[in-house]
Amino acid sequence: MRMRTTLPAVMAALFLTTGTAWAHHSLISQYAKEKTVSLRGTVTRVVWKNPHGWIYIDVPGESGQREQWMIETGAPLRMQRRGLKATDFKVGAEVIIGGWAARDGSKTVAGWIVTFVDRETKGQEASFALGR
Amino acid sequence: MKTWICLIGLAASLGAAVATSGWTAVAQTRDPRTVKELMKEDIAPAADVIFNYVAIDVTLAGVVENAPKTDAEWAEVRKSAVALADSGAQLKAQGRGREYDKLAQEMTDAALLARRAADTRNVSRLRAAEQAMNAACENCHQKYWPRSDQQPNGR
Repeated sequence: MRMRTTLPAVMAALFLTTGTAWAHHSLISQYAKEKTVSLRGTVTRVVWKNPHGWIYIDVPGESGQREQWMIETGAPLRMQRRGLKATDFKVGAEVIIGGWAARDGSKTVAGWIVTFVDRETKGQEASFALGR
Repeated sequence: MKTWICLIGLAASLGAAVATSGWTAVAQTRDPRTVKELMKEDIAPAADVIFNYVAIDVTLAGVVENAPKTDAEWAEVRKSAVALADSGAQLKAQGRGREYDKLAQEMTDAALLARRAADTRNVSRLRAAEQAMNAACENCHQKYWPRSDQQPNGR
């Protein structure tokens, strides 16, 4: 199930906690802060690199077909400081990701927060800032 | 014999001085390009080469920590590190003040760590240098960003 919800409060809170340093390219030039998005899907790949990492997820589309989305993250060090590691991601794991949609309409998102569904089910710490 | 040893020593010292002078001081010739052009054409591509070589890839095959392996790959890392160090000197040549110079030198210093890692084929050092590079990037971008690319808080 794909959810598209507005998360202004979450985004505002995360923005305040994740700092304002963007490397290489501008966040605002690529992503629309007025277009918040929440995606629920399964992890297919994670590239943990500077200056920004990428999380690839498969999201069931409205007509049932699989859609691949790419979520741009902040720098790995920034995510690590907030308790998130590359090894926390398992291919096939279900995640919910909130962020800002790409201005060009592509299936690309500037990720702000990731929630690991299995951890949430177990009552463990499940949500982490992606630092983008 | 002593004369030869002295000459070799002198040559080595001169070589070292020439090799580092462009990085520890402001570049002798000012690049006419803007900071944005330097970033787009030189700095970002050079940094990306190094960043990509030490990326961690999580796939169905597991977690793979990438690293340069062949001579050609290490040479590419070294070339990018040198380009980045030179770019730091070029940024200093823009003459924007001591604080800006300090940030530019930080990038150069991090790039020189990467160059040394390449010279010794040391992956751990390269990872440390890569972290230093990213810190230099972020430290500078917190202060400086093109006006046409304003950040959400208007900086």
